Amino acid sequence: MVRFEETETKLLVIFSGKLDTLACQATDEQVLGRVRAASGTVEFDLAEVEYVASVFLRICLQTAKAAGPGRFSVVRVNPVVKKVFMIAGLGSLLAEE
Amino acid sequence: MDMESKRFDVEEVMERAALAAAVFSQLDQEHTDRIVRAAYLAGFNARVRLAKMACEETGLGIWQDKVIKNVLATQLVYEDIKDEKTVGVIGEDHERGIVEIAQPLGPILAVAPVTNPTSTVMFKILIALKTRNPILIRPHNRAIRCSSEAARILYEAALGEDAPEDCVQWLGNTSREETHALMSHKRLALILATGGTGLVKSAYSSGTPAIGVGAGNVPVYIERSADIPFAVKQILISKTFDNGTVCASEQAVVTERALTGQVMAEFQRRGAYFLNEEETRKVEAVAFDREQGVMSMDVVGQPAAHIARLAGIEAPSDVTLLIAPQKKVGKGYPLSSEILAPILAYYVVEGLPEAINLCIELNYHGGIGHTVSIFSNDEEVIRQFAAAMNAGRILVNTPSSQGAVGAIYNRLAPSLTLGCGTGGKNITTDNITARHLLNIQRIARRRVNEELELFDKSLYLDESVDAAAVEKLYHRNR
Repeated sequence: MVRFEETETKLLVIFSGKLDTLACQATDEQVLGRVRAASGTVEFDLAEVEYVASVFLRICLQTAKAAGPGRFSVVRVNPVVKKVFMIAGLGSLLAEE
Repeated sequence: MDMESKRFDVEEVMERAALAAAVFSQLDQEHTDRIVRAAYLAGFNARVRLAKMACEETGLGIWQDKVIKNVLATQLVYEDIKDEKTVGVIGEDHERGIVEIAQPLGPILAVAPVTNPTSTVMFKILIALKTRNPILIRPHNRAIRCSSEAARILYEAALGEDAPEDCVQWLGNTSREETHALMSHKRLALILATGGTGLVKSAYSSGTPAIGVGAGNVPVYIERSADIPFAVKQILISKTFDNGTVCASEQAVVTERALTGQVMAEFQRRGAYFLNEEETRKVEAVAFDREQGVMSMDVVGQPAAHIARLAGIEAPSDVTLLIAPQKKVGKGYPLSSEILAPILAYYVVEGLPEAINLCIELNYHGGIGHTVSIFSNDEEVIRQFAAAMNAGRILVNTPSSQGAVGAIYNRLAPSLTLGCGTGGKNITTDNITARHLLNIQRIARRRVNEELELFDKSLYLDESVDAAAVEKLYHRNR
């Protein structure tokens, strides 16, 4: 569901599958813990994600806040998930690709 | 903190609604339908408790009748919408090359009235869920507990089927400023405004698209071909329903001189009480607020016996309805206006033309576009009557309270939000339902207009060629 790839400059969080409420609740502390500990930028890779719940959108908001301005982005979203971010008013979190 | 004094942050509420809208956009039809069914079942199963709560909190109406309203709002609405396609492709016309795709609108603000505080809430939630729109319930300030409870019950059931978090939110006591801030919020997609004229006007002035309702002032014409005992019985069923709180309930009976004896006798046989002139003045004084020019809240949803006591009239203790004979319609005749209580104005006319003219006056006296009613077995008369009225619903041989809301006495869509057309300052005369809460996208495939293709378009540039000539050439060789 979630795996991490970290370098000195970047924490890449790779999600997969259905990020529903239960799945997010199981991983949010782990994700936010790694985000807070990260020294570089943070990216959420959603290429393998097929569904996101409100909880996940909140995790994105919390991550953006924790990482600081310009240091967090969401990458590789499919069109369905991209639309979710746009409707939620979170389009600014999506990286330009 | 109790529900009434609970405050809320408009920005936070709207952000939650926006997230819910985003998540909703991913749901397919099957998942959406499971959510709607769960919400309907929970609402239906709570119908009696919610009806009792509504009566207790508002002091209006009859709980047994509010149960029926709750049944309409849940079971009958569900039966009406359950098979409707509301996600993805909802229509295909190969010949015209058009494919219709349903998209949700986004967050909806639903204003609920004090007269139907649980049924309207459940109805609006069901049609919002069916169309994948998050909904914010703004209860009437006198019905916060019961409206919130109805919303909570449906929301929790929806969550049980993995509905988006915050797809239903309900607000506590809402100030005018907060209501305005919500209504004009940039992230709000639509206002479903069921309530008083002022509130509906605020919704329309907010800059956000709104579906409002107009006020009613329903005349019912008992015509000479009518089955009089049947007609009177139906009117009583309607006008006493929930102590007259339905905006589509009859407000004035119009009948012909030749029939009035029988009509009056039927009403009296069924417990109605005809007021004399002095008693009429007394009822006017308690039922109508002359300063505001509207019905008095003291009588709304109260039983006839209570209103009689309030007015100081010695009516029988089991009186079902107070009937006030009237001569004219207008400001000088308060009971010719809408009064949501078991009080009826009563007019006697000489024949059909006078009856229709009087019904037009009543219709235009505060009830344009809403509902009118006729009891008749003469198809020609029914058509003449209908053509003369400005009403979204022209009900025939039907109790108008139950008839206008659909699904019980006719096949109108079951609804607790009745459009009143442009006459009532509304966008539609429809009974509002799920299909009104969708944006329909149309894929339009190339289908060349053959007549235009074959037409010599250079003729458009020639000023000497007039419309008649173009029309002839345009349709040539068809």
